[in-house]
Amino acid sequence: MTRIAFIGAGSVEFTKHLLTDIFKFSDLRGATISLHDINPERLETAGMMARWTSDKLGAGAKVEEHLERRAALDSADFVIIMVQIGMHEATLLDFEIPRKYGLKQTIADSMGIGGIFRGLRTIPFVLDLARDMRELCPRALLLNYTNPMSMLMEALYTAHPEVRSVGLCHSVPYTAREIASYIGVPHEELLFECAGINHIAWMTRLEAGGEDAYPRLFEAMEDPKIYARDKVRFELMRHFGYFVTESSEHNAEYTPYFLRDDGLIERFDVPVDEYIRRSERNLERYAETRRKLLDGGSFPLERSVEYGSLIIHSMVTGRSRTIYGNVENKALIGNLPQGCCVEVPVLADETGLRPCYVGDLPPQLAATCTPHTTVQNLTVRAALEGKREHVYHAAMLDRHASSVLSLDQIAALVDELIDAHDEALPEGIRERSRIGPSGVAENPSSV
Amino acid sequence: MPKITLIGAGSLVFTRNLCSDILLTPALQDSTISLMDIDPTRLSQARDLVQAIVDRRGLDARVEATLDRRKAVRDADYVVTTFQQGGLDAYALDIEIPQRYGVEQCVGDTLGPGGVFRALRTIPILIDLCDDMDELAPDALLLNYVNPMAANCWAVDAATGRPHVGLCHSVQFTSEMLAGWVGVPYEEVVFLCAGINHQAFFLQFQRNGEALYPAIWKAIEREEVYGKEPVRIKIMKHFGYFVTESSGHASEYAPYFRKSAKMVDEELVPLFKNEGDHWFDFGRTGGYLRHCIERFEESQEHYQESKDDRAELPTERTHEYGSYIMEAVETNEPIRVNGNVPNRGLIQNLSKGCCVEVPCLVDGNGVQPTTIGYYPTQLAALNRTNINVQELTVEAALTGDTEAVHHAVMLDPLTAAVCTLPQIRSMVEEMLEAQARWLPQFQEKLKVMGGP
Repeated sequence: MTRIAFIGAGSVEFTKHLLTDIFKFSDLRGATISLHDINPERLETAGMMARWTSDKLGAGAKVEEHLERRAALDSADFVIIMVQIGMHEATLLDFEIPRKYGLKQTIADSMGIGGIFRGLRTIPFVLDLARDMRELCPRALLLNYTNPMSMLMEALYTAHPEVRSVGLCHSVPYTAREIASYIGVPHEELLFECAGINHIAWMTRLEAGGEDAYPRLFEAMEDPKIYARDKVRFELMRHFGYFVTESSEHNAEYTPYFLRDDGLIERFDVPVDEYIRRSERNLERYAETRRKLLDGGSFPLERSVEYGSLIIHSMVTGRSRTIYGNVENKALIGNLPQGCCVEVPVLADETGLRPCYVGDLPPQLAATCTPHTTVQNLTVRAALEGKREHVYHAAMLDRHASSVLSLDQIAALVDELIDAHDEALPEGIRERSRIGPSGVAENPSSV
Repeated sequence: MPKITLIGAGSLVFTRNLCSDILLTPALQDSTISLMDIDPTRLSQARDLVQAIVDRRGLDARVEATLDRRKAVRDADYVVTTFQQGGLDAYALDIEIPQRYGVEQCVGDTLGPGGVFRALRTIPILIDLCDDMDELAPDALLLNYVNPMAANCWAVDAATGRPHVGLCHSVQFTSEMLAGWVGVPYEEVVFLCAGINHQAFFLQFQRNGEALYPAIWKAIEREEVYGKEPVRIKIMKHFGYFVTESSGHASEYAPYFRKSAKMVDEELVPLFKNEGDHWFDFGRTGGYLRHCIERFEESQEHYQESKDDRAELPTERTHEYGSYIMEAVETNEPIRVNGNVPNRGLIQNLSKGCCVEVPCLVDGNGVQPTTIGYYPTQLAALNRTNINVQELTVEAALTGDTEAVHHAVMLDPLTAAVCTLPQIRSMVEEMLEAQARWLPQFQEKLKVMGGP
């Protein structure tokens, strides 16, 4: 029987989404769901939720709870990662310290300063997990949902090519649905092709009813109500010719055009510090969910757009599906660097996951991705090699940070963040290097 | 309502099977099927056969037949090629001339002097067709069934860059045969197959995650199994993996099996014990040519039968990928096929740009090749000996350089094992002369040289 391990199962809301999807497949009935979290209360909550969902959907799942990760991984077929290393407190540091330097962020989970530090504290965790998998479930497929997606995947396939892995995000299917709603067609009727890097993948083809749908999307942008829903992405489309995945709030911090000063922020409705609010809401929602479970409450059981259950179903039953996955660029996208992590169509079936060849992206689109692949690569190197210099360089080469701060300011900011996160970071990074401000930085308060 | 064009529709058996598949596919039942051939008799026979299926099923599909290729191609969504330039006359020369030089080809349609010349005859037509498609059906997908698959597709990519996929049924038939050997229902086997056309290898063969290779290793020890596929089994025993194209074919892609008429008759033919493989005459030289001549006669009998409404209508689709690909593109329901596509880093240890046969995802976005992670070195090395010949053949066909033809044949593993270099030179010159009327690209050169 199929055995699926959830690592970080205490993200109860997300666990429930994936389990609902899985339990709705009759072919996956009777699966073993092996839950792991380091927080006993969250783990217990996840267990209650899993049993409730299985009962409600008649899935006959066997639910196990493990505080010990190795027990959860033992002989798993699929390992789903959904952890948040450092939780809310670490996220706050990622926002508050850069803000002192004048660097505003919206989400800070995948690129930029926030992405770099989230990457640095999460990479050691995923590598450790991969080592356990190699020993306890060497044939399992690792499905990573944790951000920063590209950095974690690059670290994984670089350090542990022997562990099968794929990075999954819902930004591609969500974006397709949003586009369908902007042009007023049912989302099932929108044909799309998408490629790039996670959160900056571009819709290279949009068709509805056998016709190019881009003219309709350009027309929709002229409607102020629709424009207001996605200003940053519409601006990017206006100037670069294509619609990008993820969302306006994420993309605002991936480019230098929208978040540099208050005038831009106001004009494009950029929600500064958005993720702090979401993170607080997540904490509240978790508490509420737990209360509801204890009171015998009920939850909606809609199928989500997540690819996880589809991949598991395809690999178990052999049904061919197109999914979008984050994988190593082995000649898949010609004008992005070899070895960087790309988001491309992937064929899922009983033989596993096979990424599809894409070819070259339009050059202006590739150019929006390559600066970030550089930052990702430097961050991965920093974590794997334990080198602090790579962290400075990663931050200095970030598009947003470099459009707001000087080199000295960035160096000082990196130092302060390293000190603040301290033991959560790989050891080598905590040692001072010859590069760095050592007193030359301007005083942050004077910025 | 897609328009599906068949170029070379006079290949009656293939046309009937493919059109039957199309007409059994709900998403394609309202298609326009446009049949084209240069032979008016066979074209009208093809039309009769296809129209009969439409009529007997009471479908809305439209059937057109034309001798005018441009008319057939105009506004097509899919162009399927099944023609054989030079027909059986040219094919006979591909077998007979080399045989006089000691090159004993069983099939002679893929590699060897026969494969090289079949490519030289075919490529100019394919390139012309692609030019027509650029003008008249720019978005159409080309599905090529014409052999030699690898050289033809490589030339299409190099000369035109058109979207295309090369299709063959060797993967499907081989996997079905292997499933039978190990006694597992075909629907339950799972396989991963990759390489080059006719020399791709089953890298995985399993059921429910359980490897079936151990069972195959056991099965090949059975006499009836060995007697059916002795060459492919020998290749597996020495190289570790099972290859896709039958023993008759496989015996001529490597130098080991048919180095002389004596070796063929005394060592190779006796290995074949199974009547089921009579079609290539137990590996004898020219076996497949004789089969094609018989099949042509059969197709004429069949034509008569269906004209009299005596032939039975198939109720199930064949193994051919064609109708499944068109269905997946039309419905956006993903499927996996093994297709022949340009190697853009798909198999890292084969040359860039050569034609590889790999799993492809097909959906509303067309045919999307997938990458093969690890490909065993010894298999890549075997493929490379074939790819060398294909590369020179493509170069010869596209540049009209007769020296490249000589080099292609000189590097053919079987020919090189039996002929001296001067013998190869004479043989190639004799073939160039005998086939001149199908080789327009060399005419200038041949004239300058005063003929071979």
